[in-house]
Amino acid sequence: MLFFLASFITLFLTEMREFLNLPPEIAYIRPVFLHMLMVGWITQIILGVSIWMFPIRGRQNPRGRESWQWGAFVLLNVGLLLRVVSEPMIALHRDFPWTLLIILSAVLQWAAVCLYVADIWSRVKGRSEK
Amino acid sequence: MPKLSVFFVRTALLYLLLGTTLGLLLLISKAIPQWAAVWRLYEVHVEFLVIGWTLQLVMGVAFWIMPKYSAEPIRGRESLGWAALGFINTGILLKCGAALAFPWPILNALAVALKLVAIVFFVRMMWPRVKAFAL
Repeated sequence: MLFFLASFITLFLTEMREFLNLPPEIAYIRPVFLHMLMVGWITQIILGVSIWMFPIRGRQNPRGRESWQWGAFVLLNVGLLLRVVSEPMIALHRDFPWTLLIILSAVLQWAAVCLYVADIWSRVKGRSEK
Repeated sequence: MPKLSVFFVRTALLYLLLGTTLGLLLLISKAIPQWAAVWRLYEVHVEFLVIGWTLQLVMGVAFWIMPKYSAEPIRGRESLGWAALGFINTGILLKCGAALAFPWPILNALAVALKLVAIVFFVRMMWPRVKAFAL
């Protein structure tokens, strides 16, 4: 929900640039708006709700590996925050540390998705499957 | 979870993995100018994550959890759902073919048409299930 709010604040700033007399470089945060909305809000709410309500694995350990779920949560959010900082900066200065941070951001978000899919896969099943 | 939902959701998870992998390459290319050629994957990245992941996951979960009928078939005309699954995925693959190898307008149009048919079938199947419990 914080990313949901932040994404529309970002959109507001880019749309109101002329009225608020903001520098033209503010346009570089536009890709960040889309990813805060689609990754930070929509994908993250899907991940959270699916962990909550998808069929449980069994009586012992019903929702799977909680450490993997927390891992995915931390990696996704740290990765996205790094992107929010580094993506507008790299449009202005394609040099260290922004190049390193944006690569790190990409790898962290990708690792989060891999962890989530590996964890949730076995919970996508019919009633009779064990 | 019914079998149709299992197929929708597992397919959506595969698209999430593929789409995020393309996103990884696209984002890294912002740091490495020599990788600029990967931007031809941008359309496929968006297609995989918007249609393949988000839309299919919502369709699969909706078929599973929305109100059911009291008599069989309790989830309605499931054959429409299977057709929707087939059409939407064929549409996604055709869109990828059009974006990467065959930039023919007819292929793009066919891809959109298949996705439209999939959505019509899905809406037809789900419409009567959008109801209050007492109805």
